[in-house]
Amino acid sequence: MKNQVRDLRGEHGWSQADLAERLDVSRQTVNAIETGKYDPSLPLAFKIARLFGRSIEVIFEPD
Amino acid sequence: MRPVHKRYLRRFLPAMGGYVALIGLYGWLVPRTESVALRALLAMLPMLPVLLAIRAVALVIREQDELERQTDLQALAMAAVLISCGFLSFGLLLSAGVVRGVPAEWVALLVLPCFFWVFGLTKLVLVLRLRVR
Repeated sequence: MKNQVRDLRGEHGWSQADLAERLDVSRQTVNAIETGKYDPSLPLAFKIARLFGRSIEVIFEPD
Repeated sequence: MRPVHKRYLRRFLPAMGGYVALIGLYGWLVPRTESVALRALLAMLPMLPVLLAIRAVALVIREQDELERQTDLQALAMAAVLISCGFLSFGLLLSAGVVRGVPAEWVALLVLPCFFWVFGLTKLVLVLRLRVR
């Protein structure tokens, strides 16, 4: 799955650690999501969408 | 270190300390006593900290994030399969008389330590694979 998490994080000027803290996950998990190595669960995807104020389908799109 | 892993160490390290102390007591006192009841007690006492350590592992799996949980559960499943197959193979070799001179108590004592070693190694492989892939 492709996602816009890295771009959105950059727009907010957050580091991976900042985003990880806001999402209550590890920095490695943020990195794995950004690099497409891990697709988050639906609850975490909703949390990411809420944090960036976008809908899930704007942030995540299937390959 | 994240708070979840600090909590894990606060639970796990005292349990392991207790285990080492009770194993030391076991090794020192068992050869010096003839009482079956006391020997049974000394043999079973180290299981208390082992159960506390297992509880610490179970809690950290529940409290950490979803990717960490997935990695740990995969590593636990793989360790369970590898260790059961490994000890089954070794048991068959012992029973067939191919391997000799290994005391049964040593084989039984090694199951849990081997399980945790294989769990650790499997987890390391999974984490590294996630970073490299």
